[in-house]
Amino acid sequence: MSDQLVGAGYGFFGSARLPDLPGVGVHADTWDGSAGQSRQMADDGVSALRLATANRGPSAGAAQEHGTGTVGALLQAGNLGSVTAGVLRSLEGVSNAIRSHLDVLAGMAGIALAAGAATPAGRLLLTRLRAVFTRTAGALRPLMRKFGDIMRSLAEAVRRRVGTKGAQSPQAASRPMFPQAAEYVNNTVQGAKVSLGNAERVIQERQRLMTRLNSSFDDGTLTADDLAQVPYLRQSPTSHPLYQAERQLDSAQLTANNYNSDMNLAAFNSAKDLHRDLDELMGIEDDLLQWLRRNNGLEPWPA
Amino acid sequence: MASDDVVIDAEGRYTSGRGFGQLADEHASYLTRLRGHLGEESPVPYEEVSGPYAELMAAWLETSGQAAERLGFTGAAQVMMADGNVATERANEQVSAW
Repeated sequence: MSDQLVGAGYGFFGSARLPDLPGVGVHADTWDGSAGQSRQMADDGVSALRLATANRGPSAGAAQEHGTGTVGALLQAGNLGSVTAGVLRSLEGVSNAIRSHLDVLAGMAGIALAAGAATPAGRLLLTRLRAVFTRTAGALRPLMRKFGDIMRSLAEAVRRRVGTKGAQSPQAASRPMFPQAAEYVNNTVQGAKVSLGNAERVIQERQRLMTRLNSSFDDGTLTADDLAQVPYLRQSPTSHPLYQAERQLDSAQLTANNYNSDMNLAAFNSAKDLHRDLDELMGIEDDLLQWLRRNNGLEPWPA
Repeated sequence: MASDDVVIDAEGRYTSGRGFGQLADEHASYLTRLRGHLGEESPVPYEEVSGPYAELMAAWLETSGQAAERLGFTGAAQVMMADGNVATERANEQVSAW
């Protein structure tokens, strides 16, 4: 899709393009590195502890216990560092998905503006596009608030688990450490990644299709090849990536229900809203395609 | 004289203590580099995230500093304990020599 059309669309919506967040990936890598460092320190600490295990007696026992507490805190740090890296990558994914989605909406508005904003069909499309754009753009900050909440609870877990007070034995640390949080965060982050990946694939597919349509629109020809793209919009509902993403969100939501975590339930509801918007976007695209076909005389206007 | 349920291996404890001391130094210098990497500026330009993220980084750096201190303390305590063990053995030897 040409930058010009996308730019015209953003102009029509009176909105600027969302920023890239290149620093988030860099930070995620740093957290992964830091988690690795903590685990390495824990491993080396275990080796250092073994050197003194020939000692027996009450004070030897107390010394060993203190040492295992030190190692345990480092293991907890390793786990929490990895979770933080995952949360940052998830945030980056959400932000990118919303931006791509808004780009497509802006591009479609650009096409509709160029094709004839004055016609009743054009006005109707633009009105619907504006509604989806507003709702999608409006989803960003509430989702960011959810990420903020997750980070706040991670900060609390870091103080509790890694701080001096929270030091635990490696045995305790190697048990599923806070079973609900650890397992749940893993499940949900994985689930959300898959869903977002699917949603992004849908968006990319849309972008490819719209680029085709746009170029044929620019040179005034809409060909049978372009129309061959249309069945994609009408494929079997159950094989559709959005349908599958929805299913994954449902199962992730079940997990969230099991763990009774209001915060994460809210995050998943926001994600589901995003998917609903994508669904509506596809409906609008369908209309826009039909409109282009009719405008180009490839399909008669209804009587 | 060690009783049946007390065994003293001062050499092992020295090595262990020095190992922990080395880990403490490594961890502390890693943390200095980490502070540089994470930097002051938030990578996320939304206040909903930047505040809590700064809080998370602060908690991480603070508790990692505590972990480094704890490694150092564990090392120093082992060395001190081994010193005590050795001093006790020497005292015992002297007492037996009398």
